[in-house]
Amino acid sequence: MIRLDSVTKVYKGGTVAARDVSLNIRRGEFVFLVGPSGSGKSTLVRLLLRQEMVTRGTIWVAGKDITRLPAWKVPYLRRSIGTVFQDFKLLSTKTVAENVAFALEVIGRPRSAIRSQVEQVLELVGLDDLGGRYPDQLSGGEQQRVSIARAFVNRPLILLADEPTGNLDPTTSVGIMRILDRINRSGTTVVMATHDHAIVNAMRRRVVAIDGGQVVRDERGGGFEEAPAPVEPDVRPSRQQDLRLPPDPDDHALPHMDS
Amino acid sequence: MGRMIFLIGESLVNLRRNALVATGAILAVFISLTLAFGALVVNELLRLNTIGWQQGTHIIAFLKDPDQGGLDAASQVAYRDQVMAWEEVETVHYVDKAGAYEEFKEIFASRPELIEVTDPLKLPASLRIELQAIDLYRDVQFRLSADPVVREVRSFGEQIEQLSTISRVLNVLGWGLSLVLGLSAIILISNTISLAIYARRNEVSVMKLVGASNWFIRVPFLLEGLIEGVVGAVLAVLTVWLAARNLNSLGETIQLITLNIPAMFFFRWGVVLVLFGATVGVAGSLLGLSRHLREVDS
Repeated sequence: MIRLDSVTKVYKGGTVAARDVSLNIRRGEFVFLVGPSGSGKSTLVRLLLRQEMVTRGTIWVAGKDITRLPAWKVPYLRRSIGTVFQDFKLLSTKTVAENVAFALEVIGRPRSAIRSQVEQVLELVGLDDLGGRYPDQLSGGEQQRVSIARAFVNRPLILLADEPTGNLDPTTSVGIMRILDRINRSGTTVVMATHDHAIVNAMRRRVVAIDGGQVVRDERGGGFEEAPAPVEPDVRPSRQQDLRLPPDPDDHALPHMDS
Repeated sequence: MGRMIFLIGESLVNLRRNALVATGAILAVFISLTLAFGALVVNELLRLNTIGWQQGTHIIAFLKDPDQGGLDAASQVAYRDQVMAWEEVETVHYVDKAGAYEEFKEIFASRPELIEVTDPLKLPASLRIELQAIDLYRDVQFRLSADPVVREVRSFGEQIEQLSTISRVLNVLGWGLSLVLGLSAIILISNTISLAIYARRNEVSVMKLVGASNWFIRVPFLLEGLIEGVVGAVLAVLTVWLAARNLNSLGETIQLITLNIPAMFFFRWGVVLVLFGATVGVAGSLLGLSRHLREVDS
Protein backbone atom coordinates (compact mmCIF):
# COMPACT_ATOMS: atom_id res chain seq x y z
CA MET A 1 0.00 0.00 0.00
CA ILE A 2 2.85 2.40 0.93
CA ARG A 3 6.46 1.93 -0.06
CA LEU A 4 9.33 4.29 0.55
CA ASP A 5 12.54 3.56 -1.35
CA SER A 6 15.66 5.31 0.00
CA VAL A 7 13.76 8.50 0.73
CA THR A 8 15.79 11.52 1.78
CA LYS A 9 14.37 14.92 2.61
CA VAL A 10 16.64 17.89 3.17
CA TYR A 11 14.94 21.20 4.00
CA LYS A 12 16.27 24.59 2.92
CA GLY A 13 19.01 25.45 5.32
CA GLY A 14 20.34 21.91 5.30
CA THR A 15 18.19 20.22 7.96
CA VAL A 16 17.95 16.52 7.11
CA ALA A 17 14.46 15.34 8.13
CA ALA A 18 14.59 11.95 6.41
CA ARG A 19 17.76 10.06 5.61
CA ASP A 20 17.61 7.14 3.21
CA VAL A 21 14.32 5.83 4.63
CA SER A 22 13.00 2.58 3.16
CA LEU A 23 9.72 1.21 4.38
CA ASN A 24 7.03 -1.11 3.12
CA ILE A 25 3.55 -0.90 4.64
CA ARG A 26 1.04 -3.49 3.52
CA ARG A 27 -2.64 -2.97 2.97
CA GLY A 28 -4.62 -3.09 6.21
CA GLU A 29 -1.60 -2.64 8.49
CA PHE A 30 -1.59 -0.42 11.57
CA VAL A 31 1.79 1.24 11.93
CA PHE A 32 3.06 3.53 14.67
CA LEU A 33 5.80 6.00 13.77
CA VAL A 34 7.58 6.77 17.02
CA GLY A 35 10.56 8.88 17.93
CA PRO A 36 11.54 12.05 19.72
CA SER A 37 10.43 15.53 18.63
CA GLY A 38 12.21 16.59 15.46
CA SER A 39 13.08 13.01 14.53
CA GLY A 40 11.27 13.28 11.20
CA LYS A 41 7.90 11.60 11.89
CA SER A 42 5.80 14.53 10.75
CA THR A 43 8.01 15.02 7.70
CA LEU A 44 7.21 11.46 6.63
CA VAL A 45 3.50 12.21 7.01
CA ARG A 46 3.90 15.41 4.93
CA LEU A 47 5.87 13.49 2.28
CA LEU A 48 3.10 10.89 2.03
CA LEU A 49 0.55 13.68 1.53
CA ARG A 50 2.81 15.39 -1.03
CA GLN A 51 2.84 18.51 1.12
CA GLU A 52 6.61 18.22 0.75
CA MET A 53 8.68 16.86 -2.11
CA VAL A 54 11.39 14.29 -1.53
CA THR A 55 14.98 15.37 -2.11
CA ARG A 56 15.89 11.85 -3.21
CA GLY A 57 14.13 8.52 -3.40
CA THR A 58 10.69 7.29 -4.39
CA ILE A 59 7.38 6.97 -2.56
CA TRP A 60 4.72 4.61 -3.82
CA VAL A 61 1.16 4.99 -2.57
CA ALA A 62 -1.47 2.52 -3.79
CA GLY A 63 0.74 1.53 -6.70
CA LYS A 64 1.53 5.08 -7.82
CA ASP A 65 4.88 6.85 -7.60
CA ILE A 66 3.74 10.06 -5.90
CA THR A 67 7.12 11.74 -6.29
CA ARG A 68 6.44 11.92 -10.03
CA LEU A 69 2.79 12.86 -9.68
CA PRO A 70 1.96 16.10 -11.55
CA ALA A 71 0.70 18.89 -9.24
CA TRP A 72 -2.84 18.72 -10.66
CA LYS A 73 -3.13 15.06 -9.64
CA VAL A 74 -2.11 15.66 -6.01
CA PRO A 75 -5.72 16.38 -4.91
CA TYR A 76 -6.70 12.93 -6.25
CA LEU A 77 -3.93 11.35 -4.16
CA ARG A 78 -5.22 13.17 -1.07
CA ARG A 79 -8.74 11.87 -1.68
CA SER A 80 -7.39 8.38 -1.05
CA ILE A 81 -5.68 9.43 2.20
CA GLY A 82 -7.56 10.55 5.29
CA THR A 83 -5.66 12.82 7.66
CA VAL A 84 -6.00 13.44 11.38
CA PHE A 85 -3.92 16.03 13.24
CA GLN A 86 -3.17 16.92 16.83
CA ASP A 87 -4.87 20.34 16.43
CA PHE A 88 -8.00 18.78 14.81
CA LYS A 89 -8.10 21.39 11.99
CA LEU A 90 -11.87 21.84 12.27
CA LEU A 91 -13.65 24.84 10.82
CA SER A 92 -15.14 26.83 13.67
CA THR A 93 -17.84 28.39 11.48
CA LYS A 94 -19.27 25.01 10.50
CA THR A 95 -21.21 22.53 12.59
CA VAL A 96 -19.96 19.00 13.23
CA ALA A 97 -22.03 17.61 10.35
CA GLU A 98 -20.96 20.45 8.05
CA ASN A 99 -17.29 19.90 8.91
CA VAL A 100 -17.60 16.26 7.96
CA ALA A 101 -19.70 17.01 4.88
CA PHE A 102 -17.12 19.60 3.75
CA ALA A 103 -14.70 16.79 2.85
CA LEU A 104 -17.28 15.37 0.45
CA GLU A 105 -18.53 18.72 -0.87
CA VAL A 106 -15.07 19.80 -2.02
CA ILE A 107 -14.66 16.62 -4.06
CA GLY A 108 -18.05 17.10 -5.67
CA ARG A 109 -20.15 14.33 -4.11
CA PRO A 110 -23.90 14.71 -4.69
CA ARG A 111 -25.82 16.23 -1.80
CA SER A 112 -28.02 13.16 -1.31
CA ALA A 113 -25.01 10.86 -0.91
CA ILE A 114 -23.30 13.31 1.44
CA ARG A 115 -26.13 13.27 3.97
CA SER A 116 -26.23 9.49 4.38
CA GLN A 117 -22.43 9.12 4.46
CA VAL A 118 -22.12 11.85 7.12
CA GLU A 119 -24.79 10.18 9.26
CA GLN A 120 -23.03 6.81 8.98
CA VAL A 121 -19.61 8.11 9.90
CA LEU A 122 -20.90 10.23 12.80
CA GLU A 123 -22.54 7.11 14.16
CA LEU A 124 -19.25 5.26 13.79
CA VAL A 125 -17.38 7.82 15.90
CA GLY A 126 -20.24 8.08 18.40
CA LEU A 127 -21.26 11.62 17.58
CA ASP A 128 -24.59 10.98 15.87
CA ASP A 129 -26.38 13.19 18.43
CA LEU A 130 -23.95 16.11 18.12
CA GLY A 131 -24.14 16.83 14.38
CA GLY A 132 -25.63 20.27 14.94
CA ARG A 133 -23.03 21.47 17.45
CA TYR A 134 -20.10 23.75 16.65
CA PRO A 135 -16.51 22.67 17.41
CA ASP A 136 -16.15 25.11 20.30
CA GLN A 137 -19.13 23.42 21.98
CA LEU A 138 -17.28 20.09 22.04
CA SER A 139 -14.58 18.58 24.26
CA GLY A 140 -11.10 17.89 22.83
CA GLY A 141 -11.88 14.20 22.45
CA GLU A 142 -15.14 14.94 20.64
CA GLN A 143 -13.37 17.37 18.31
CA GLN A 144 -10.81 14.70 17.47
CA ARG A 145 -13.66 12.29 16.74
CA VAL A 146 -15.09 14.84 14.30
CA SER A 147 -11.67 15.11 12.71
CA ILE A 148 -11.50 11.32 12.34
CA ALA A 149 -15.03 11.26 10.94
CA ARG A 150 -14.03 13.85 8.34
CA ALA A 151 -10.90 11.87 7.46
CA PHE A 152 -12.83 8.62 7.10
CA VAL A 153 -16.09 9.81 5.54
CA ASN A 154 -14.65 9.31 2.07
CA ARG A 155 -13.62 5.71 2.96
CA PRO A 156 -9.94 6.33 2.16
CA LEU A 157 -7.43 3.53 1.53
CA ILE A 158 -5.03 5.06 4.03
CA LEU A 159 -5.49 7.07 7.20
CA LEU A 160 -2.56 9.20 8.36
CA ALA A 161 -2.71 10.44 11.92
CA ASP A 162 -0.10 12.88 13.19
CA GLU A 163 -0.13 12.90 17.02
CA PRO A 164 -3.95 12.44 17.18
CA THR A 165 -3.86 11.96 20.96
CA GLY A 166 -1.26 14.66 21.62
CA ASN A 167 -3.81 17.08 23.09
CA LEU A 168 -5.93 14.52 24.90
CA ASP A 169 -5.96 12.93 28.34
CA PRO A 170 -5.28 9.17 28.58
CA THR A 171 -8.92 8.13 28.94
CA THR A 172 -10.00 10.15 25.91
CA SER A 173 -6.99 8.86 23.99
CA VAL A 174 -8.21 5.30 24.53
CA GLY A 175 -11.52 6.23 22.93
CA ILE A 176 -9.76 7.74 19.94
CA MET A 177 -7.50 4.72 19.54
CA ARG A 178 -10.49 2.45 19.67
CA ILE A 179 -12.02 4.31 16.72
CA LEU A 180 -8.76 4.17 14.77
CA ASP A 181 -8.53 0.45 15.50
CA ARG A 182 -12.09 -0.07 14.26
CA ILE A 183 -11.28 1.84 11.09
CA ASN A 184 -8.15 -0.27 10.61
CA ARG A 185 -10.18 -3.44 10.97
CA SER A 186 -12.40 -2.29 8.12
CA GLY A 187 -9.36 -2.66 5.86
CA THR A 188 -7.96 0.85 5.96
CA THR A 189 -4.23 1.14 6.41
CA VAL A 190 -3.48 3.35 9.42
CA VAL A 191 -0.17 5.14 9.91
CA MET A 192 0.06 7.07 13.14
CA ALA A 193 2.90 9.28 14.32
CA THR A 194 2.88 9.48 18.10
CA HIS A 195 4.76 10.21 21.30
CA ASP A 196 2.28 8.30 23.41
CA HIS A 197 4.15 5.42 25.10
CA ALA A 198 1.03 4.00 26.73
CA ILE A 199 -0.94 3.74 23.52
CA VAL A 200 1.90 2.13 21.57
CA ASN A 201 2.69 -0.28 24.37
CA ALA A 202 -0.97 -1.18 24.84
CA MET A 203 -1.79 -1.82 21.19
CA ARG A 204 1.29 -3.84 20.23
CA ARG A 205 1.19 -3.16 16.51
CA ARG A 206 4.00 -2.57 14.07
CA VAL A 207 6.32 0.12 15.39
CA VAL A 208 8.69 2.08 13.18
CA ALA A 209 11.09 4.10 15.33
CA ILE A 210 12.72 7.11 13.73
CA ASP A 211 15.64 9.09 15.04
CA GLY A 212 17.60 11.78 13.23
CA GLY A 213 15.56 11.11 10.09
CA GLN A 214 16.55 7.42 9.98
CA VAL A 215 14.57 4.27 10.69
CA VAL A 216 16.28 2.82 13.74
CA ARG A 217 13.77 0.06 14.46
CA ASP A 218 10.97 -1.65 12.59
CA GLU A 219 9.24 -4.17 14.81
CA ARG A 220 5.91 -5.93 14.45
CA GLY A 221 3.98 -6.16 17.73
CA GLY A 222 6.56 -3.86 19.32
CA GLY A 223 6.41 -1.33 22.12
CA PHE A 224 7.48 2.30 22.30
CA GLU A 225 10.96 1.34 23.43
CA GLU A 226 13.02 -1.47 22.06
CA ALA A 227 12.08 -4.73 23.72
CA PRO A 228 14.77 -6.70 25.57
CA ALA A 229 15.90 -9.84 23.85
CA PRO A 230 13.12 -12.43 24.11
CA VAL A 231 13.65 -15.22 26.57
CA GLU A 232 10.73 -17.16 25.10
CA PRO A 233 9.66 -17.62 21.49
CA ASP A 234 7.70 -14.53 20.30
CA VAL A 235 4.13 -15.74 20.09
CA ARG A 236 1.99 -12.84 18.99
CA PRO A 237 -1.27 -12.69 20.96
CA SER A 238 -4.62 -12.34 19.27
CA ARG A 239 -5.69 -8.80 18.29
CA GLN A 240 -8.44 -8.52 20.89
CA GLN A 241 -6.01 -9.54 23.59
CA ASP A 242 -3.18 -7.33 22.50
CA LEU A 243 -5.27 -4.15 22.50
CA ARG A 244 -5.29 -4.32 26.30
CA LEU A 245 -7.95 -1.64 26.32
CA PRO A 246 -11.26 -1.86 28.15
CA PRO A 247 -13.84 -3.78 26.10
CA ASP A 248 -15.36 -1.73 23.28
CA PRO A 249 -19.16 -1.67 23.71
CA ASP A 250 -19.62 -0.25 20.19
CA ASP A 251 -17.36 -2.77 18.55
CA HIS A 252 -18.95 -3.88 15.32
CA ALA A 253 -17.76 -4.48 11.82
CA LEU A 254 -17.44 -1.39 9.63
CA PRO A 255 -18.64 -1.34 6.09
CA HIS A 256 -15.68 -2.37 3.99
CA MET A 257 -14.02 0.51 2.14
CA ASP A 258 -14.82 -1.01 -1.22
CA SER A 259 -18.51 -1.20 -0.43
CA MET B 1 -24.94 22.08 -10.63
CA GLY B 2 -24.62 21.25 -6.92
CA ARG B 3 -20.91 22.08 -7.05
CA MET B 4 -21.60 25.41 -8.75
CA ILE B 5 -24.14 26.32 -6.05
CA PHE B 6 -21.58 25.33 -3.41
CA LEU B 7 -18.90 27.51 -5.07
CA ILE B 8 -21.21 30.52 -5.44
CA GLY B 9 -22.22 30.08 -1.79
CA GLU B 10 -18.56 30.05 -0.77
CA SER B 11 -17.82 33.26 -2.71
CA LEU B 12 -20.84 34.98 -1.13
CA VAL B 13 -19.55 33.92 2.29
CA ASN B 14 -16.19 35.50 1.33
CA LEU B 15 -17.91 38.74 0.36
CA ARG B 16 -19.94 38.83 3.58
CA ARG B 17 -16.90 38.23 5.78
CA ASN B 18 -14.88 40.93 4.00
CA ALA B 19 -17.78 43.30 3.45
CA LEU B 20 -15.82 46.49 4.18
CA VAL B 21 -12.81 45.66 2.02
CA ALA B 22 -15.05 44.32 -0.75
CA THR B 23 -16.99 47.59 -0.68
CA GLY B 24 -13.69 49.46 -1.10
CA ALA B 25 -12.83 47.35 -4.15
CA ILE B 26 -16.30 47.89 -5.63
CA LEU B 27 -15.96 51.66 -5.07
CA ALA B 28 -12.56 51.70 -6.77
CA VAL B 29 -14.01 50.01 -9.86
CA PHE B 30 -17.07 52.23 -9.69
CA ILE B 31 -15.09 55.50 -9.49
CA SER B 32 -12.62 54.56 -12.21
CA LEU B 33 -15.31 53.39 -14.62
CA THR B 34 -17.62 56.33 -13.83
CA LEU B 35 -14.81 58.73 -14.75
CA ALA B 36 -13.97 56.79 -17.89
CA PHE B 37 -17.59 56.45 -18.96
CA GLY B 38 -18.31 60.09 -18.07
CA ALA B 39 -15.43 61.19 -20.27
CA LEU B 40 -16.75 58.96 -23.05
CA VAL B 41 -20.23 60.51 -22.77
CA VAL B 42 -18.91 64.10 -22.80
CA ASN B 43 -16.78 63.20 -25.78
CA GLU B 44 -19.78 61.72 -27.55
CA LEU B 45 -21.80 64.87 -26.83
CA LEU B 46 -19.04 67.00 -28.32
CA ARG B 47 -18.86 64.75 -31.34
CA LEU B 48 -22.62 64.82 -31.86
CA ASN B 49 -22.71 68.60 -31.58
CA THR B 50 -19.69 69.28 -33.73
CA ILE B 51 -20.95 66.80 -36.34
CA GLY B 52 -24.17 68.84 -36.50
CA TRP B 53 -22.16 71.98 -36.96
CA GLN B 54 -19.64 70.46 -39.31
CA GLN B 55 -22.40 69.21 -41.59
CA GLY B 56 -24.27 72.53 -41.60
CA THR B 57 -23.24 76.04 -42.44
CA HIS B 58 -19.59 76.74 -41.80
CA ILE B 59 -19.39 80.37 -42.86
CA ILE B 60 -21.97 83.14 -43.15
CA ALA B 61 -21.05 86.09 -45.32
CA PHE B 62 -23.39 89.07 -44.74
CA LEU B 63 -23.58 91.16 -47.90
CA LYS B 64 -23.65 94.96 -48.13
CA ASP B 65 -26.79 96.67 -49.38
CA PRO B 66 -26.51 98.54 -52.70
CA ASP B 67 -26.63 101.89 -50.87
CA GLN B 68 -23.57 100.82 -48.83
CA GLY B 69 -21.58 100.03 -51.95
CA GLY B 70 -22.87 96.49 -52.25
CA LEU B 71 -24.55 94.53 -54.99
CA ASP B 72 -28.18 94.49 -56.02
CA ALA B 73 -30.20 91.30 -55.59
CA ALA B 74 -29.51 89.92 -59.07
CA SER B 75 -25.76 90.55 -58.72
CA GLN B 76 -25.80 88.95 -55.28
CA VAL B 77 -27.14 85.73 -56.88
CA ALA B 78 -24.37 85.95 -59.47
CA TYR B 79 -21.88 86.49 -56.64
CA ARG B 80 -23.20 83.31 -54.96
CA ASP B 81 -22.45 81.37 -58.15
CA GLN B 82 -18.99 82.87 -58.18
CA VAL B 83 -18.29 81.74 -54.58
CA MET B 84 -19.76 78.31 -55.29
CA ALA B 85 -17.10 77.86 -57.96
CA TRP B 86 -14.32 78.09 -55.36
CA GLU B 87 -12.71 74.69 -54.89
CA GLU B 88 -12.96 74.77 -51.05
CA VAL B 89 -16.71 75.31 -51.21
CA GLU B 90 -19.24 72.49 -51.20
CA THR B 91 -22.50 74.46 -51.46
CA VAL B 92 -23.71 78.04 -51.06
CA HIS B 93 -27.21 78.97 -50.06
CA TYR B 94 -28.31 82.54 -50.79
CA VAL B 95 -30.72 84.14 -48.28
CA ASP B 96 -32.13 87.44 -49.56
CA LYS B 97 -33.42 90.27 -47.34
CA ALA B 98 -36.97 88.85 -47.30
CA GLY B 99 -35.65 85.40 -46.37
CA ALA B 100 -33.51 86.94 -43.63
CA TYR B 101 -36.58 88.66 -42.16
CA GLU B 102 -38.57 85.39 -42.25
CA GLU B 103 -35.71 83.63 -40.44
CA PHE B 104 -35.55 86.50 -37.89
CA LYS B 105 -39.28 86.21 -37.23
CA GLU B 106 -38.91 82.49 -36.75
CA ILE B 107 -36.04 82.80 -34.28
CA PHE B 108 -37.68 85.56 -32.26
CA ALA B 109 -41.24 84.25 -32.50
CA SER B 110 -41.53 84.47 -28.71
CA ARG B 111 -40.62 88.18 -28.70
CA PRO B 112 -43.14 89.94 -30.98
CA GLU B 113 -42.10 93.40 -29.68
CA LEU B 114 -38.64 92.84 -31.16
CA ILE B 115 -40.12 91.80 -34.51
CA GLU B 116 -42.37 94.86 -34.46
CA VAL B 117 -39.50 97.36 -34.10
CA THR B 118 -37.25 95.64 -36.63
CA ASP B 119 -37.18 97.10 -40.12
CA PRO B 120 -37.17 94.20 -42.66
CA LEU B 121 -34.99 96.26 -44.98
CA LYS B 122 -32.26 96.62 -42.35
CA LEU B 123 -31.56 92.88 -42.31
CA PRO B 124 -28.77 92.01 -44.74
CA ALA B 125 -28.84 89.32 -47.39
CA SER B 126 -26.28 86.57 -46.79
CA LEU B 127 -24.49 83.60 -48.26
CA ARG B 128 -24.55 80.41 -46.14
CA ILE B 129 -21.49 78.50 -47.14
CA GLU B 130 -20.75 74.85 -46.51
CA LEU B 131 -17.12 73.90 -47.03
CA GLN B 132 -15.57 70.71 -48.35
CA ALA B 133 -13.80 70.39 -44.99
CA ILE B 134 -14.07 72.49 -41.89
CA ASP B 135 -10.32 73.15 -41.62
CA LEU B 136 -10.47 75.13 -44.90
CA TYR B 137 -12.43 77.88 -43.19
CA ARG B 138 -9.49 80.29 -42.71
CA ASP B 139 -8.73 80.75 -46.45
CA VAL B 140 -12.37 81.19 -47.41
CA GLN B 141 -13.03 83.57 -44.51
CA PHE B 142 -9.97 85.65 -45.53
CA ARG B 143 -10.99 85.89 -49.17
CA LEU B 144 -14.56 86.86 -48.32
CA SER B 145 -13.47 89.49 -45.78
CA ALA B 146 -11.26 91.10 -48.40
CA ASP B 147 -14.16 91.48 -50.83
CA PRO B 148 -15.68 95.00 -50.64
CA VAL B 149 -19.23 93.69 -51.32
CA VAL B 150 -19.15 91.70 -48.06
CA ARG B 151 -20.19 93.50 -44.89
CA GLU B 152 -19.12 90.87 -42.31
CA VAL B 153 -17.97 87.23 -42.20
CA ARG B 154 -18.82 84.85 -39.39
CA SER B 155 -17.31 81.39 -39.11
CA PHE B 156 -17.82 78.49 -36.70
CA GLY B 157 -14.47 76.97 -37.66
CA GLU B 158 -12.61 78.35 -34.69
CA GLN B 159 -15.22 77.09 -32.20
CA ILE B 160 -15.26 73.69 -33.86
CA GLU B 161 -11.46 73.53 -33.69
CA GLN B 162 -11.55 74.45 -30.00
CA LEU B 163 -14.19 71.81 -29.30
CA SER B 164 -12.13 69.23 -31.17
CA THR B 165 -9.14 70.12 -28.97
CA ILE B 166 -11.28 69.81 -25.82
CA SER B 167 -12.58 66.50 -27.10
CA ARG B 168 -9.03 65.20 -27.65
CA VAL B 169 -7.91 66.38 -24.19
CA LEU B 170 -10.98 64.80 -22.61
CA ASN B 171 -10.28 61.57 -24.43
CA VAL B 172 -6.70 61.41 -23.21
CA LEU B 173 -7.68 62.47 -19.67
CA GLY B 174 -10.58 60.05 -19.48
CA TRP B 175 -8.63 57.05 -20.68
CA GLY B 176 -5.53 58.04 -18.70
CA LEU B 177 -7.55 58.38 -15.50
CA SER B 178 -9.44 55.18 -16.08
CA LEU B 179 -6.18 53.34 -16.77
CA VAL B 180 -4.61 54.57 -13.51
CA LEU B 181 -7.78 53.97 -11.51
CA GLY B 182 -8.34 50.64 -13.25
CA LEU B 183 -4.86 49.54 -12.16
CA SER B 184 -5.53 50.70 -8.61
CA ALA B 185 -8.81 48.77 -8.72
CA ILE B 186 -6.88 45.63 -9.75
CA ILE B 187 -4.47 46.11 -6.85
CA LEU B 188 -7.32 46.79 -4.42
CA ILE B 189 -9.23 43.70 -5.56
CA SER B 190 -6.03 41.69 -5.31
CA ASN B 191 -5.66 42.88 -1.70
CA THR B 192 -9.29 42.03 -0.99
CA ILE B 193 -8.69 38.51 -2.27
CA SER B 194 -5.48 38.22 -0.26
CA LEU B 195 -7.38 39.21 2.87
CA ALA B 196 -10.14 36.75 1.99
CA ILE B 197 -7.55 33.98 1.60
CA TYR B 198 -5.96 34.99 4.90
CA ALA B 199 -9.34 35.03 6.64
CA ARG B 200 -10.10 31.58 5.26
CA ARG B 201 -6.62 30.09 5.49
CA ASN B 202 -7.81 27.28 7.78
CA GLU B 203 -10.59 26.44 5.39
CA VAL B 204 -8.22 26.49 2.41
CA SER B 205 -5.73 24.25 4.18
CA VAL B 206 -8.53 21.80 5.09
CA MET B 207 -9.75 21.91 1.48
CA LYS B 208 -6.25 21.00 0.32
CA LEU B 209 -6.00 18.20 2.85
CA VAL B 210 -9.26 16.56 1.85
CA GLY B 211 -8.35 16.66 -1.83
CA ALA B 212 -10.07 19.71 -3.28
CA SER B 213 -8.63 20.50 -6.69
CA ASN B 214 -6.73 23.75 -7.11
CA TRP B 215 -9.45 25.16 -9.32
CA PHE B 216 -12.10 24.25 -6.81
CA ILE B 217 -10.19 26.26 -4.20
CA ARG B 218 -9.60 29.16 -6.58
CA VAL B 219 -13.08 29.51 -8.07
CA PRO B 220 -14.79 31.12 -5.02
CA PHE B 221 -12.05 33.75 -4.86
CA LEU B 222 -12.24 34.34 -8.63
CA LEU B 223 -16.02 34.67 -8.35
CA GLU B 224 -15.57 37.15 -5.52
CA GLY B 225 -13.30 39.36 -7.67
CA LEU B 226 -15.64 38.94 -10.63
CA ILE B 227 -18.65 40.02 -8.54
CA GLU B 228 -16.76 43.05 -7.21
CA GLY B 229 -15.69 44.10 -10.72
CA VAL B 230 -19.11 43.58 -12.28
CA VAL B 231 -21.03 45.30 -9.46
CA GLY B 232 -18.65 48.32 -9.64
CA ALA B 233 -19.03 48.49 -13.42
CA VAL B 234 -22.82 48.14 -13.38
CA LEU B 235 -23.07 50.91 -10.78
CA ALA B 236 -20.81 53.13 -12.92
CA VAL B 237 -22.89 52.51 -16.07
CA LEU B 238 -26.15 53.16 -14.19
CA THR B 239 -24.81 56.37 -12.61
CA VAL B 240 -23.59 57.83 -15.90
CA TRP B 241 -26.77 56.74 -17.70
CA LEU B 242 -28.97 58.42 -15.06
CA ALA B 243 -26.81 61.56 -15.15
CA ALA B 244 -27.05 61.68 -18.96
CA ARG B 245 -30.83 61.24 -18.81
CA ASN B 246 -31.12 64.19 -16.43
CA LEU B 247 -28.81 66.20 -18.68
CA ASN B 248 -31.02 65.30 -21.64
CA SER B 249 -34.17 66.55 -19.93
CA LEU B 250 -32.27 69.75 -19.08
CA GLY B 251 -31.14 69.99 -22.69
CA GLU B 252 -34.71 70.14 -23.96
CA THR B 253 -34.79 73.77 -22.76
CA ILE B 254 -31.52 74.68 -24.47
CA GLN B 255 -31.61 75.26 -28.20
CA LEU B 256 -28.71 74.94 -30.64
CA ILE B 257 -26.97 72.13 -28.76
CA THR B 258 -28.04 68.53 -28.39
CA LEU B 259 -27.65 66.64 -25.11
CA ASN B 260 -29.44 63.58 -26.36
CA ILE B 261 -27.25 60.49 -26.60
CA PRO B 262 -28.70 57.47 -28.41
CA ALA B 263 -29.65 54.48 -26.22
CA MET B 264 -27.48 52.26 -28.44
CA PHE B 265 -24.40 54.19 -27.31
CA PHE B 266 -25.17 53.37 -23.67
CA PHE B 267 -25.95 49.76 -24.44
CA ARG B 268 -22.77 49.23 -26.48
CA TRP B 269 -20.43 50.96 -24.04
CA GLY B 270 -22.34 49.58 -21.03
CA VAL B 271 -21.58 46.04 -22.19
CA VAL B 272 -17.93 46.97 -22.87
CA LEU B 273 -17.56 48.55 -19.41
CA VAL B 274 -19.17 45.63 -17.57
CA LEU B 275 -16.84 43.25 -19.42
CA PHE B 276 -13.94 45.54 -18.49
CA GLY B 277 -15.06 45.51 -14.83
CA ALA B 278 -15.28 41.71 -14.93
CA THR B 279 -11.78 41.51 -16.41
CA VAL B 280 -10.42 43.88 -13.76
CA GLY B 281 -12.07 41.75 -11.05
CA VAL B 282 -10.71 38.46 -12.37
CA ALA B 283 -7.24 39.96 -12.97
CA GLY B 284 -7.18 41.29 -9.39
CA SER B 285 -8.27 37.90 -8.05
CA LEU B 286 -5.63 36.04 -10.05
CA LEU B 287 -2.98 38.44 -8.77
CA GLY B 288 -4.12 37.95 -5.15
CA LEU B 289 -4.31 34.17 -5.60
CA SER B 290 -0.87 33.90 -7.16
CA ARG B 291 0.60 36.00 -4.35
CA HIS B 292 -0.99 34.25 -1.39
CA LEU B 293 -2.55 30.88 -2.12
CA ARG B 294 0.75 29.00 -2.19
CA GLU B 295 1.58 30.32 1.27
CA VAL B 296 -1.60 28.83 2.70
CA ASP B 297 -0.76 25.23 3.40
CA SER B 298 -1.15 23.07 6.37
